Amino acid sequence: MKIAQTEVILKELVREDADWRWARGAVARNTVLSSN
Amino acid sequence: MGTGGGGQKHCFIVKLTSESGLVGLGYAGISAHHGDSLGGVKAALETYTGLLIGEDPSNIEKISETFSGVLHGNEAAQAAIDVALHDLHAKILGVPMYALLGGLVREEIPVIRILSLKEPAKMVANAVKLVEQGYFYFKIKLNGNQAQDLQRVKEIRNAVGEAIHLTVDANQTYLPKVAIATLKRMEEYGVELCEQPVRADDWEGLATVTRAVDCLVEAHESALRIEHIYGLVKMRAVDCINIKIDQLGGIRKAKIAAAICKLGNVSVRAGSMGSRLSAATTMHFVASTSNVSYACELGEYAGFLNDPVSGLEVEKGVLRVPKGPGIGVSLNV
Repeated sequence: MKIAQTEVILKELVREDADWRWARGAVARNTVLSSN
Repeated sequence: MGTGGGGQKHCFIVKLTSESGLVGLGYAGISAHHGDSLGGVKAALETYTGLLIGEDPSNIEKISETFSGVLHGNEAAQAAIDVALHDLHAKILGVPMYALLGGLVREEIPVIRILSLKEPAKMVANAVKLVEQGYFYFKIKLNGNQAQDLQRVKEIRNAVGEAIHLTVDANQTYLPKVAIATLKRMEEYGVELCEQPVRADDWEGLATVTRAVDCLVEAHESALRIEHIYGLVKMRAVDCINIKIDQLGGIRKAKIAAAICKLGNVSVRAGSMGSRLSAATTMHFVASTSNVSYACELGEYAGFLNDPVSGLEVEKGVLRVPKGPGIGVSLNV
């Protein structure tokens, strides 16, 4: 059985939470030591 | 503070159709922070999927090795092609994809839900909402500010109770000694695992943290190539490797990585940040890989409003592997 056709589909997934975030540690390091 | 994420995520879905009309699907997520670009992945996929016409999809090793050479550094495109070949081959044989990967060692896995980086009170509210939905494992995103991160973990622990499993993901934001001090202080809140505490290329720093703290230490951004996983395992820099099939270049490479980890007595986890197509593909890997030893983040598709793929749902915080032919999900476009 051989591959007869191929297709590439672009999709933009939309998050329910428009402010879904994680820290870019390698870009901006703001590490501080807390005293408490 | 620099952050990643946002409200939209671009992806590509590869469709390979056989002479008999069966369709194999593969997912390529675009992770700019890992070197992907929309145009680059698009060009790679359109160029190389075209070369697959007339190929036998069962020749996965030959095709993937060829593409691995010409698509070096383009793991997202490699992954989509590799996964679509596995899906189509399994559908031609009429078996679930896990049957091609060694068969079942488990049928279900607890799902870790990610608590996106926000002010602590908002993260607490999100955790409580997800507990009410049945989830019992969480990954708390940190930002490298020790005081704020301790507050996040403390307030979430106080809100969800002792029975819930908590892990953290520092996304490279700590220096090794600060990571050690912080994780030691998080011990009282029962943090079981810390993903990527220090910079991706600081393998010595990772090893230093791993040897100093009680919780499991995991590599993700350090482990985006199987060659890197081999190096991390050889130096026993971490307790665990987080494998994302979309980022590592496909199922074939994920199985090689899992074998490397097994030889080095390092645990494997797996995650997916995209559509149900990505999560279900990863679930077949998890279901067929013996050294996956902890809950996995395979439920993040639930955060998307317009996933074009159906056929996968978490129930009571647990995901079961689809049993239909191939990946076992449906594309609705």
